[in-house]
Amino acid sequence: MKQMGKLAWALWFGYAFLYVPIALLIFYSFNESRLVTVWGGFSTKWYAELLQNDQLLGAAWLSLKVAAMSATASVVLGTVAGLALARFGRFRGRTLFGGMITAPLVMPEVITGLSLLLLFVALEQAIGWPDGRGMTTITIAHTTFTMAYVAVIIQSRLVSLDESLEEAAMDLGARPAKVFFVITLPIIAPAIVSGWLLAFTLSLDDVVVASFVSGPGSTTLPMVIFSSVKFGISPQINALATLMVVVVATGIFIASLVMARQDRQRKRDEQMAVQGG
Amino acid sequence: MAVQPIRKPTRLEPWQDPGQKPYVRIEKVTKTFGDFVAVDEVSLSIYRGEFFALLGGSGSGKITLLRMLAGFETPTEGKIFIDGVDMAGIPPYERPVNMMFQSYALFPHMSVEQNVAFGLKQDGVAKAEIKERVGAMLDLVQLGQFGKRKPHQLSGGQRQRVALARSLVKRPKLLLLDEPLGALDKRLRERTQFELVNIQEKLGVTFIVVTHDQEEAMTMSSRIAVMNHGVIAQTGTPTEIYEYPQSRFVAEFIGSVNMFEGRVVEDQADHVLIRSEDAGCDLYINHAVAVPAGATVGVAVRPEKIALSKEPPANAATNADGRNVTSGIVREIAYLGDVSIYLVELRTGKTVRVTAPNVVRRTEMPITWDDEVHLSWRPFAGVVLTQ
Repeated sequence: MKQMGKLAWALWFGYAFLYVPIALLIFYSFNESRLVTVWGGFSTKWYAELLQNDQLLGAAWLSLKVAAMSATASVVLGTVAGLALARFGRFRGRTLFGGMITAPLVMPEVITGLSLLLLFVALEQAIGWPDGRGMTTITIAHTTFTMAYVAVIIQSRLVSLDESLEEAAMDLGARPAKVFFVITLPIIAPAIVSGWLLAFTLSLDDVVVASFVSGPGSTTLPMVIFSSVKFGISPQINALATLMVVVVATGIFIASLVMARQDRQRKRDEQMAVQGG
Repeated sequence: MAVQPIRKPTRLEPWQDPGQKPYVRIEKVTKTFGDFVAVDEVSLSIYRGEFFALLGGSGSGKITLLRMLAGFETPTEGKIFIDGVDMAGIPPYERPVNMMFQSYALFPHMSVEQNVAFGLKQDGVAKAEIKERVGAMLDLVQLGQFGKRKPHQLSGGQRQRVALARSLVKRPKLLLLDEPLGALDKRLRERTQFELVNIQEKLGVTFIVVTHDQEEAMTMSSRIAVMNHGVIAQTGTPTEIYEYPQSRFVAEFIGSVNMFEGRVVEDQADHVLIRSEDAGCDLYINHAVAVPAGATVGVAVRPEKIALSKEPPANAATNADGRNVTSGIVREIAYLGDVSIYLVELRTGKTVRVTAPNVVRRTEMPITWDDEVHLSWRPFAGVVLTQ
């Protein structure tokens, strides 16, 4: 019993460590006072003000657009890369290439951002594209570093995929391209979805790379929040963050509910198969 | 092991008939992966309507050979002809061949019906015909009720039958089966063996089965090719392989066998006499071997062909003038119900395995542990192996 008590304390401490900051942020979003850390009574006025703040809303919209586009692009590129790594067979330098695809995962973001900025500037001087920096360059930059994550996810899914499924489809008369779209793609769809979500989240989070490659008039939400800290945080940021936490939490909750339900369904099916003999 | 080929003998088997053309011809096919030689200059002829088994342990090259027939691997050297057509450069999706995979490879996101219909859809068969043929195929494998289920809603045996239906629905002339019964439990496997043979005879499809299970190969196939290290050790009917193994490997791989070493002392047209220190007696065998006198050979004697007795056997029993008789002490007895296995230690120190049917019901066995027993066998029991 005493042991339990200690463990319970450890549990509470651990979760407090994780969630107190977020709880505090939500709590102060309902603060009447303009000063973020001084409680001045309950109010929802910052939410109302937030809806009037075009700069913040515009940044949030831009962030969502960039995240969606770069996630989609990185899923396409990442799937192709993952497919090549998992299915190309053995060749000289395979380990090297396998390692190189994951290198952006550990590359400092500052370096990724700087190198992309240099590339864009050089390209603009050489061929006139991209014309200035803005949404396009941020999207390309985000695709570059999120693609590595997607490729790793897809590759590991493909490695565990029974290759004889593809062979069976080919044996039954399907050409390789058809096999990919009718067999491989539907089976790895869950991995593609989770890859897309991860890329989306990473893009939404990023402030470092975006700071390098963004231009005037294209400021993402994390950049706005980051820069507004310099002039003192407005409780509007708290309100916005609270909304985001609510949206994300709801999303995760629904996803886990659906997964739990599928799991139960699967177990029932398997039981049925065993009984059905 | 009781070996009863379940096929009724026909007038002349196709491989004995020089007028027959083989349906599948494998000509000196070699496949290497880097330095590893998986298949080494294999030549085989397989005839229409055969149930042909490629039997071997893991790494024997049997699966590589099957995959080359399906088109998933390209031979490094040699040629493969199916129905007279050279298969070089023809991709899997254009070969008149279908394959049933060891893992069954059912598409998890499709229902049973969709799985079976997949091959027909690729060929652009009309919808009504697909429906009809899929239905007929599912009835044939007794899965008519399960068309709407997904593979994970089926038991192992049902999945196996879906895989079979899917590979047969395109009416291939040649079906390749990779360990078709490997994932089933013993009881289901025995039942399915007969189903598989029935379906094969009903549809007249040529089957080539890869298996590591010798019992499976013997009960189902018309002919067996025993493979070892990428080479075919012997090809023949189940009876030929079991009764007349041509090498030690085949003798030891198929069933169990007692191997005696000896020296040829007499080689006549109708018999051969071998002096064996191992066996502790002279071995008399009623067939000739073309080896010089004095050569060292092996003699294989199957456990069920050796008779056990407490009294020295009468001459008539062995019909070999006191040869093929030796004695030893019973060390182990395993009672299996229908038969018992005795491990007898000969005076020479060699242990011999004997199986005897339990014809009479007995709670007290006449031969028991540490008994001194005589072992004898008839002149036709032994097979001389020079390789």
